[in-house]
Amino acid sequence: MVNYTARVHLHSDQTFKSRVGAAEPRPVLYRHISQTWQDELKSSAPELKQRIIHWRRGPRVVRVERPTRLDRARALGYKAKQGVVVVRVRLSRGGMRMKRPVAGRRPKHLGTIKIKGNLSESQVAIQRASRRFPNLTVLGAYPLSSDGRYSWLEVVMVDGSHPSIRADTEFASRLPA
Amino acid sequence: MGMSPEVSGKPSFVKFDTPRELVEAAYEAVRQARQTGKVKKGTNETTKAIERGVAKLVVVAEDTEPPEVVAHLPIIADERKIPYLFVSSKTQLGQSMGIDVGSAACAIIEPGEAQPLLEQILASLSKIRSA
Repeated sequence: MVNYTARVHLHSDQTFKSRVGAAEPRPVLYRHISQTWQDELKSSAPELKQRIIHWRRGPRVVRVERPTRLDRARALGYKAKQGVVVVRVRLSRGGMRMKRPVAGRRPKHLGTIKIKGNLSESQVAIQRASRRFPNLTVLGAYPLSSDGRYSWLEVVMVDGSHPSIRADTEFASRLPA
Repeated sequence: MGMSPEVSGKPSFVKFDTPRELVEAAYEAVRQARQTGKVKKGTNETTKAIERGVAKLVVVAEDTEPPEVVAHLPIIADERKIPYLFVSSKTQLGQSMGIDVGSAACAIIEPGEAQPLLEQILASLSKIRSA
């Protein structure tokens, strides 16, 4: 069972900064969805574990029907309409795998471990998602979960040439000219 | 392309089993209340109806994907002492509300002609919850 926390404190008037700019009141529903996700992470809920087992066996980059974290996806601009795509990306955790040099060095200067790419996980996830779907524009990414070996993120993308997206003025400023 | 996890049994937000006849009664009550009373459709409107304390009965669909979208409803309904029950299909819940798409949750605000049916549902619900 998930140890859901009481929700009384959520009724206060919190605001959040939307990605578009102006501060607007955050819908009550999304506060609750966010809280539920935090509770599930904290209590390592069976739902979450089952999902990770499923994700581990799936492909590295896969399109999903609906965002797993609706609050985060909507904050990035997700809408449940045609032309908006959510992609789950699986990344291997850890630093870069460097080749051991041919010439002799002392262990300190082998340069095989402790070398990291200067990219965040969401940057890498965005790169891989847009390599898979080159016609889509990335709106953003958010983390899902991780185990010892992999971490998973979801990337929200949008098809700028889809009629329903072209008709939506809210996407206009976020699409390439 | 639904990548729903193969979880055995029901998701953990389902706090009790709703008997089949009660599920059917809930669909019918929602249908009548929608025609002659007032019903709030969808998770967002349902959440607001619970927090404002105007909901008489909350109906939650068990097959909601992802379940996080409705997992808070039983919790806040318990805090506000508002009765709720679970139905098996969000598609059928949407149909009983007369909309073309599914609906993960709804709240009966004014039962209208469903008043006697609603009272029956509430009576058997309190029996289930106290047992």
